[in-house]
Amino acid sequence: MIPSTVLATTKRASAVLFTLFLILSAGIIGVGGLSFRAFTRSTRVAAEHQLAAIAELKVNGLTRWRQERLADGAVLVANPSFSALLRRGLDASQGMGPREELQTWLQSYLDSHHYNEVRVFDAQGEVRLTIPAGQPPASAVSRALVPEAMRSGKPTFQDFYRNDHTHRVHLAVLVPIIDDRNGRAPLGVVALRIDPGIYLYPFIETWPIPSATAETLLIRRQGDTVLYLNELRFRTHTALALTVPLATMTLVAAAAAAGREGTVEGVDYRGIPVLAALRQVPGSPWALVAKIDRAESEAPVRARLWLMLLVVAALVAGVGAGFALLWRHQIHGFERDKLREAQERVWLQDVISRSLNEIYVFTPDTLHFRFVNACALRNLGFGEAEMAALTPVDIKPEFTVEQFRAMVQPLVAGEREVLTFETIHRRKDGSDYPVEVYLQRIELPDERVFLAVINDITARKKRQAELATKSEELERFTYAISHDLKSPLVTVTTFLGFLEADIARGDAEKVRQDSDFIRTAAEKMSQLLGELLEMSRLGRVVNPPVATTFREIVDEALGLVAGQIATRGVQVVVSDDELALTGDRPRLVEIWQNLIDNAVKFAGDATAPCIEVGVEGNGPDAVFFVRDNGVGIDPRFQGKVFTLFEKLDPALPGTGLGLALVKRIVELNGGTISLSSPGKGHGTCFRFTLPDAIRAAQKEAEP
Amino acid sequence: MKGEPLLILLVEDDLAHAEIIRRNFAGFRLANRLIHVADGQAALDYLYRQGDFTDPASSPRPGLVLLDLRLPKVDGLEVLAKVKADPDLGRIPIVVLTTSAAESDMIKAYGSHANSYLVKPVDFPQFVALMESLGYYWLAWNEYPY
Repeated sequence: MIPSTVLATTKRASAVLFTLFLILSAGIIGVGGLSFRAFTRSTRVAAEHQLAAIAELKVNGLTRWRQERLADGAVLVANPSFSALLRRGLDASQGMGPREELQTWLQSYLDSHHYNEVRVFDAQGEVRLTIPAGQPPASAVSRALVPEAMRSGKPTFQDFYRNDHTHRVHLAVLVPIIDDRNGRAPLGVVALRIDPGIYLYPFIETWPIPSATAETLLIRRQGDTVLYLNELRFRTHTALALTVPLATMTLVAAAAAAGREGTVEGVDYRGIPVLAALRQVPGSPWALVAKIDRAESEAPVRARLWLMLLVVAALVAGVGAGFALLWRHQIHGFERDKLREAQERVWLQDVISRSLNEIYVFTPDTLHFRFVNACALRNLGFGEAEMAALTPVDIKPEFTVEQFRAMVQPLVAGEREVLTFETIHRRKDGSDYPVEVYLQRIELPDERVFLAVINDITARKKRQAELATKSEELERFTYAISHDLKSPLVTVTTFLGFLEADIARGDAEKVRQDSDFIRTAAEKMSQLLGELLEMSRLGRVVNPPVATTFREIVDEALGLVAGQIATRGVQVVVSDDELALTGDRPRLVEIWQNLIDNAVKFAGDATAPCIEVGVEGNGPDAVFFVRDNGVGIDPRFQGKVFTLFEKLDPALPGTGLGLALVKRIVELNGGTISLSSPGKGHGTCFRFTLPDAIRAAQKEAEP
Repeated sequence: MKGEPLLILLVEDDLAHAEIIRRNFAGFRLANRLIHVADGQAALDYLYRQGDFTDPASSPRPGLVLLDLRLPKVDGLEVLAKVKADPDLGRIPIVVLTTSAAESDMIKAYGSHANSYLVKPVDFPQFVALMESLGYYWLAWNEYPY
């Protein structure tokens, strides 16, 4: 299971990263947008300035050009020389001379002033002279303007018009000629015709900088329509031919024709969006439109837009990639952590499994085992699958389910966290072993489990039992000492009292008796002390092991009790068996010495007292025996003979330590001792083993 | 006192101690009989008239038992417990007379309804004084239900 905290951390980290990414991206886009807007505005302003400057330039040019044309005319209006020349030239009575003179003059004027035709109207409005000769007759529209020109008395423009005959577009300056003699009456009108294609149109059409779509329009309002006066860049034959309704308000030309000035957006004659600077040409019916396609004027913006989008996209992508890397790194980190955690869990489970304690995890409600470690399976003999169906009660024969639940109640109720108790576990094969249980309630984030750690306390119990035996023995020992050492003391002190009294009375017989009692008590005490010392040295003072044999030991023991044997006339039979023994020789001798001494003591009044000493078998479990045909031991008291200070017959000498001593030496050699007696008067047989001494000898015999 | 001499059963494994007690009692000029047995089994045999003591004539019922605790074969405390548990023999006063001053012995002895618990002093005058007091108390003053 993945801890939910790790998941939450991952989620939180991802969310933080994603939010950061969004904020940064929004920042990049925002800065890009602002920069783009600034660029758009500056581009627009630059374009507007450019258009305005060009329009200004053109308008100024046009204005100057018109003034120059009017000035050309003004030179002639009240010029006495020219009026005289004209007067004479128009006077048919003067003959051809003055007429030719006028003709020559006008021709030279034409040549030098870029006019392509000069026509002379007389005061009646009739054409009197046309230069160059052979031109078609004057257009009706031109003739109609002559009276007005004469009335005004100063040069006026005849605006763009189409020649009735050639259908070509022209302008003209109409110059009234004043007769300086005849009371300033007009002589006629000189019409100086201009071909706009020569100078005006090129001037209008030229654009000072390279541009694919920029152009200048010259227009004039004509009623409710807009009349285009020049040839257009994208359409031919438009001069004085193309008209558009004035109401077409999106049309920049219409706006200009309506009198607006400044910079506007709209469409041009092609219906294409344009940016335009509108100007009115002063002193004329003209309006000027300097325009450029927005496609062109905004081209840098679009280019910049693409670039900007590219840059922003690249930045966002870069940031995104960065965050993605970071995120992946973090997720990898989490995954690494998770992996490590999982590995640690496996490792920990392995460790727990290998623990030499039985470890169980079970659920409080059903009590079913959830986890059982290898040691528990090994100790109990159940398989893992079998255990899953069991509860602690199934392996604890001392508990019923109710009792177990009652016991763990404090844990369930939360009153206690840990319970420690000793009980018994039952294996699959039905055998039992003592255990100490450490039961703990564990609160996991989403459940509660019980953890039981179990100690097999078989060894401890055994040691405790041994210790109890030892301490019991020690208690008995000290008790016995206090009692048995005190007894002779009581005897000694009391009989000393009697002794004094008897001496005072001079009772020699009593004095002898008293002394005997005192001597016996003192001897008994001395013997007791000697044997107690011997006893205390057992297991404490150890002689180095010596290689010897059964026969050697028995012979030495017999030597030590030879006196008593001879006194009682006891026959001793030692078997021929030979068995190697290695051990603490003096102690081994003590075994046989005590047993033979005992047998002699209890020979009783048998007619032929006999003691048999021998061994059965030759391995480590060989059984030694010492058998007599003496008084025997009542079966009721056979268990007491090996106890410290136990004497069955107070009348016989001895301290009650001898057999206890033998038992301890046998036990120190890893053996056991027992006695059998058919009953009082039927003899006794002591049987014992000395496996350690025999094993040590066998080991020594090996090469 | 009903004129009849009181019979005392002395259960004592130490022959010297038995001699001490015998001598003290002899000195009191009290016409009492002292019967001595040396181990617990013999004491039970005497009281229950079994083993060597089957004849009621030669082994009359004692009026008082002086009991040592550490005895061969059957321990003194066992003898005490067994006798006191007997509805008939249980009425016989039993005075524990031992060298053991161990508290555990006293507790067990009184627990088994011993009538008195005396520790043998390791001092001659004291021992004599104790025997004198014991004699006066149990032989002169104490009343018995038979």
